[in-house]
Amino acid sequence: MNKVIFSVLVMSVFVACEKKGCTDETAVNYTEFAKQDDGSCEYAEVISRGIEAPSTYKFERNGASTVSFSGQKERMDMLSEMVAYMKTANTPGTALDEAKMLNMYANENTPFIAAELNASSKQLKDKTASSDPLIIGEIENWIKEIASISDSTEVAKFEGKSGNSGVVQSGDKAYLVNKLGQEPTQIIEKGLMGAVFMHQISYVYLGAEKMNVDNDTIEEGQSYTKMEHHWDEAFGYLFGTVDFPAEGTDRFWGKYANGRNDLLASNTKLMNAFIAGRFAITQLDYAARDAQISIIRMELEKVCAATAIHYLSLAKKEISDDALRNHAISEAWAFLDNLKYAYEGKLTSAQIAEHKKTIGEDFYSISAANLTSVIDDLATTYGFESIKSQL
Amino acid sequence: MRHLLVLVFIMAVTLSCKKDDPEVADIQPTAAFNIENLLTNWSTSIIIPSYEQYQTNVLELQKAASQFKASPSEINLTNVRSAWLSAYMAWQKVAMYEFGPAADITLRSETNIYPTDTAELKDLIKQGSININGANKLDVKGFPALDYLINSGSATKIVRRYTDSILGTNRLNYLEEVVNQIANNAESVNIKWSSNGGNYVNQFNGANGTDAGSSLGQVINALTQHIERHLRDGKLGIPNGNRNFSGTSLPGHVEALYYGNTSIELALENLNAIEVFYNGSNNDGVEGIGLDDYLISLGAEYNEGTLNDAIKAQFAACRNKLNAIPKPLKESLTSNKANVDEAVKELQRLIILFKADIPSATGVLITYQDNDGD
Repeated sequence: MNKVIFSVLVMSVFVACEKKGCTDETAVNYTEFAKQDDGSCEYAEVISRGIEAPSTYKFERNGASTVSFSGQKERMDMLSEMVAYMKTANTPGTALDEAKMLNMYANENTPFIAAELNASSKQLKDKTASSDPLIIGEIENWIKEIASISDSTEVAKFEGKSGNSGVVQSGDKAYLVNKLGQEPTQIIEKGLMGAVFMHQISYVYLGAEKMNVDNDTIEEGQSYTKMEHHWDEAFGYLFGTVDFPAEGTDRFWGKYANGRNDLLASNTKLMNAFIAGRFAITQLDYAARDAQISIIRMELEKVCAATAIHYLSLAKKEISDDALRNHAISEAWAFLDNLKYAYEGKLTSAQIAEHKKTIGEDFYSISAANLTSVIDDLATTYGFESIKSQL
Repeated sequence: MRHLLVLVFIMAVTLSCKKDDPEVADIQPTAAFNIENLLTNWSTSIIIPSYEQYQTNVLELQKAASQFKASPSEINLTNVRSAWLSAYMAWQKVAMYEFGPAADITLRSETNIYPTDTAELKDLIKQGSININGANKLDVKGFPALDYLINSGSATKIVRRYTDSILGTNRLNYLEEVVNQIANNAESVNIKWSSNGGNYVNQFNGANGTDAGSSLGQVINALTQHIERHLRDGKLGIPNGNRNFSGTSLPGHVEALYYGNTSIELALENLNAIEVFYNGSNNDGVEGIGLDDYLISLGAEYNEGTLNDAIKAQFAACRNKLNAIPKPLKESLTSNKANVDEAVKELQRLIILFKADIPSATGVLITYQDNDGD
């Protein structure tokens, strides 16, 4: 096997946030926050074929790029348009059209402003947790709910309050919430980030079915092999750009990976893994590829869990402010729920449900102590004890 | 090996290109300075004694309230009022330690959200409810609710409310519950800090790095956020219109609204407590190891002088401007607005020193203001 062999990459993730750790930047388990080297540095065993691994997500064949993820970007753009439309209802008295949102979700009846999205054959709905009717039903119920409560904002005016759906305001922030303080816009947006993007990455494109495919033949009319393309599609769902984090930090997973980057170094770890795995595919080294798949799945799960903690902490900081607290818990609620899309994730659905129960579904009457208990549990599960207070 | 090394190395370089000055992370405490000694001085000479003092004052308040409940007389009300004021002043010496045990229960929000929602408070009393748990009840409890309950009228008038044949008992029960919750929270935080209880002090003293999650990191984040949002904004900027969205004076938003004359004293007490903590002085004024010593050991500079001198001068400037605001604050918001503006400006300068200069000298990461912007 005259190829790149990665032996210990998976280990690196667990030591990410200690103050002691590996301080050698060339090691695979280099720890950004390590101040003191504890002798734990591990080095990749690499037997070179004499081909340079790229430093960016740039892969070519005969001078032409082999990277393509236009369908992923289209779905991201669809969700962006949907979210922008839903946010118009944060202005009190703006009624949302339920049919239009359902159409946006399924890309039917040309609902988008962007003509290329209306013309696209892609949609969010059929990729929702691999068309799981239960999850699709949940998303559609939230769509129906936001349409219905947006109608009532004329009556409710600014007064979203306990037991009363409407717009809650704090300074220049305004959020449309239901009578429990739950914000459907966040639950739909972040919910689809999990049910579509995260699920497609972790389960579908990096799953056995899409990875055990042809990697010898160039696809007809294209410059890539089937396996290369599947890998790129997973990558596309994560950042939507090859230039992350120079670009792509404005929305979806790119935004939240970047948001946790100071403490988790998520940007580097995810980009590194995607580049290394893609390079391994070009080298036909599937053991190396699979090591990167494990890293990607785990890092994405960690970003998701850390973001849930981040928003629970934010909810505590803003606990007396109905608008900011409800908004933060809605975000946390969705990120917490998304942990079920982590491939062989650390939490079972039952544990996730238990955490949500501890938070409580009435966001107006939650208690700080309960949020703290969920934060503590998540921090223990994911090894974030030392950084949880600053996530 | 070379190729992957190149890859990893390039990514590591990319990683270091974050908004903070990359040199910052390289600063290491000098051998002469031991952060654990600083933390130990903070916890054992300042934080824990301050919480203990606070709890003592709160217990006196609880005792006074209980006597008032047994016998709602003017003399007993006067005792409640003075115990309330002492406890409120003691609160100003612990309010900024919103990390660890206090953060676990959001002690500051449990204790001091103002203005009180008097409409809701009256409603609860009318219903005979003393359920004041949960996020949406934070503005009907704590010291501000007590302020309304005991200070919003003459002693005669207040006593009449508590002896009212219809609602008197409900009011007494409500008052008691508010005081009990303040006391329970004070006790719970105290126990968690104590080496005889939750022993958070051990964890605090031991997290002696400067990385995320270190005690120094938590302290600097907590102090900075407190000065910004609670001292500058809560006590002055919001009532004065500098830090609210309407830009107009909101006299109803001052701290200790009903008591009236003490808003500035509360702010000064809080500012002084932060300065004392910065200097590492204990409650008897004896200087110990403080953030000042750490900054000196790091050789932190500011313009032509030292960062420590700049910070000390800025504390003094803030105090002078606060002292220059005529009492009561709620009237100065209209009659002497410029004085309040000046105090807000000086506090803003102090915030910049805490938020930008201290982190760049120490390598501590400021994370509290993270807001994803949607």
